[in-house]
Amino acid sequence: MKRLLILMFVAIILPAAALGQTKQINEILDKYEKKKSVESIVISPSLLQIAGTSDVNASTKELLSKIKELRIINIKTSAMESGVPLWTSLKGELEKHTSSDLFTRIVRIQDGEELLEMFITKNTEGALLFYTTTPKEFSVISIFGSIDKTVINAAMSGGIKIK
Amino acid sequence: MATIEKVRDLLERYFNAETTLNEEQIIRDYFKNDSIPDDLLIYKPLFNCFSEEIERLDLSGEKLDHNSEKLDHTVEEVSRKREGSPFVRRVSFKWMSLAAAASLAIFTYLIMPQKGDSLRLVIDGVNVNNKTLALGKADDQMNQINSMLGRYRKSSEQLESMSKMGDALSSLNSISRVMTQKEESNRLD
Repeated sequence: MKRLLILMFVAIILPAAALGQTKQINEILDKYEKKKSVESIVISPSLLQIAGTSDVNASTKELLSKIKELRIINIKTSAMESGVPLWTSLKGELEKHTSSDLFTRIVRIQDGEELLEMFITKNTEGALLFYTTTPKEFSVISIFGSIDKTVINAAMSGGIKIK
Repeated sequence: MATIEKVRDLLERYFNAETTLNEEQIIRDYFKNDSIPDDLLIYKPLFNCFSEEIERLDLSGEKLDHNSEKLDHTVEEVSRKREGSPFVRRVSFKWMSLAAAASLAIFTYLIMPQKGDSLRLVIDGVNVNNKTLALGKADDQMNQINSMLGRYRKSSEQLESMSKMGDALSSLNSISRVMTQKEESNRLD
């Protein structure tokens, strides 16, 4: 009985918490897109394509159907707010969530002054986040939806492209 | 038309209160006539007055009838309206349900995440309606990630080939170890 209750708790609470995290990340991005020196792009999956597939076949359709939205936030590193670089504030707010137990960092690539970090929610229904930091700008690329192995592999192999 | 003798007779009976209603009507009808003997003229105003009064009463009766007809009509209308009210109510409910469904659809459209061919570009907090620019900027970002991930893939491939080399070297090592052991044993012999 106890096991059943624990399983029920895990089955109900964890997805809800992951969805809550996704919502909170969206709220943070909403907040920052209203600020100066910030560019925000929101794209629906119909405007995405999978690399190497010129036509929309069944597997591409299936993969794209898992993605609900792609969202990009781009901040110039020179942008300041109250004496603090704006990008550090955004990264700090996002890291409060991505450093929690609900996210896992799967990639960290440091190449000279460029840094790429990739995070995924532990639960399938959630988000895949990329942080890229260069001397000129800081970008957050977030893919919301059902982030399973096929979506992660497509993202890792550079397969998700804009039409 | 009653003869003068009959009218004189009826008048006598009238003043004796012996006439019937029909006979009184005959007298009144007679006095409506203009050719009345002089000796009977004095009764003319009396019976004409009665006639006029009756006519007025008749008219009021007609008016009453008319009014009652009007009232009936109004009652009919009211009852018809009352009969029709469920229909009116049904119609209003139908429109209300349609309005509710429409507002729900609008609400859902506004609240739910947008699906389909949607694209939004915001620069400095201002919506920019430029699809080409938005797609170009998004493409740049995706290319930047893909290029960094490409470098990562190259590094991981190099690591993989190095580990393969390590595996191959480890088998050579084991062969050399075996050969060394054999040399040592030969030396001991």
